[in-house]
Amino acid sequence: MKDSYVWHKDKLKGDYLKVFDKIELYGQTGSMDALTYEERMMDLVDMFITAQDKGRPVQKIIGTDVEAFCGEYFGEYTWKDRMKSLPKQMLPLAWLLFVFAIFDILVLVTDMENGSSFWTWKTDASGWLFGYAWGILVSVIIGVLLRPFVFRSKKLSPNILAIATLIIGFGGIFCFADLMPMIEMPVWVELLVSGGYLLLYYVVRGFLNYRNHGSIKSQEIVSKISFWGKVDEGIIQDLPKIHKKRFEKKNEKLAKKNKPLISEERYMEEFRKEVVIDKKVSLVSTIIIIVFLAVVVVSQMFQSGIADGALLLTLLFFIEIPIIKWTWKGYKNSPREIVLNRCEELGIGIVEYARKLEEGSGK
Amino acid sequence: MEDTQLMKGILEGCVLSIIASGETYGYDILSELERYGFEELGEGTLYPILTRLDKGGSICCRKAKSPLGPVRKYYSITEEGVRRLETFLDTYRKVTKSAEAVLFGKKQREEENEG
Repeated sequence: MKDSYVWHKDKLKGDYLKVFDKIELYGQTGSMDALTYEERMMDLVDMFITAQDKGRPVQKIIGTDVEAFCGEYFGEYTWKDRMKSLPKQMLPLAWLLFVFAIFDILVLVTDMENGSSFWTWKTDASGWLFGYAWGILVSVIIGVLLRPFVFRSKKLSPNILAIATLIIGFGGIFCFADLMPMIEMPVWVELLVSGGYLLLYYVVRGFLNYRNHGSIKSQEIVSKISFWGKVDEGIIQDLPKIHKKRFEKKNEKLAKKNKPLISEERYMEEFRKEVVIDKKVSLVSTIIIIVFLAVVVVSQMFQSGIADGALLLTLLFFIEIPIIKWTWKGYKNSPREIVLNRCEELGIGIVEYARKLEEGSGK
Repeated sequence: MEDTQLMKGILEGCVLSIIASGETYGYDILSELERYGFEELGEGTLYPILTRLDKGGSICCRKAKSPLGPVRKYYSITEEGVRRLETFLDTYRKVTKSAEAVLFGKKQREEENEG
């Protein structure tokens, strides 16, 4: 899964975060395509985090006029830049259509005994056409309406923009989708267009990669965050402090009862055991969810056929995948385990690690 | 520092010169410029310069994870960039020599005559 600037934003604090939010809002209410915008924001978040780490005020990086900075930073974006990124932007839509086409063919296979033919089998394209067009319209309208308020309203934030977009986006789909007339498209056209686009895209990309650096693989993506293991640095910084407070409160209670206090080593040992138990529970939970998913899908396939089973698998996949991700993260790359590893690398306990973080020397 | 047009012309050459010294990244370039006296330059000024140089083929960039987490662009100069820098330095020497003669030459002659 490709890295995004959003996952690094939590490292920004104070003025850096406030300014970054305004710049983010300005960019999101503009007409820049998503890929170019993501690249610009990643460059900016790297600059901000580096400057913040070196203790420089944000004004040294962007000047005192945030609005003027935004005008310069997001300027020089021409229609040529937009055209250049268009093929890559269309890729998710092409994949979506291709997957729909495959499902339509699976449904056709189950209906062939009724005389249906591959060349006459049709699908209704109005749903995805409307969804795509509506999505573009909503983001443009909201952008135009909110842009004048970006630097004039203190309450307007990227989160509010996201919520407004979601509400209007989904609201429109629920209200108007049924009013759309059916737009029939032969499945073979859907398959040809989407499959043809994907084939052409990857062939041309491979050719350009080979010409530029001798390999058909793209060299651009050098950083991926595992879909299963995104690390939230904010939680990792807070966890030791939470445990330090817990340790102190525990010892306060023991002192009141005139009982022997827990040492920091003993507390660290308990923390280590907790991490091991958490990992086992997370692994077992993940296995149970996957087995449950498999049993449901297989039984549906036996009852109603392969096509229905495949459709159910797709639905459950999107519902269950965030849950599986969450439980797997608890096993593979949990914040607690990361903190434990950092403590062990430094050769100190979690309480001492918390003290170092508070002093600003622990990283 | 005022006179934006003058600054823009010079900055592009200066940025290219910094990149020619070795692979570098945005914050480092800003710090170097500041060290040499280009104060109050921000990412908003630097970024368009880097974009123009990249589009013009004078620099290339590779992306890698920075020590603090985000993906960072590291810039290095190309052969075309080396040629462009040489042209810039040549033009800069000629122009500054002539400009100094025009701007300060008359005053210097007057001072010499008074002396």
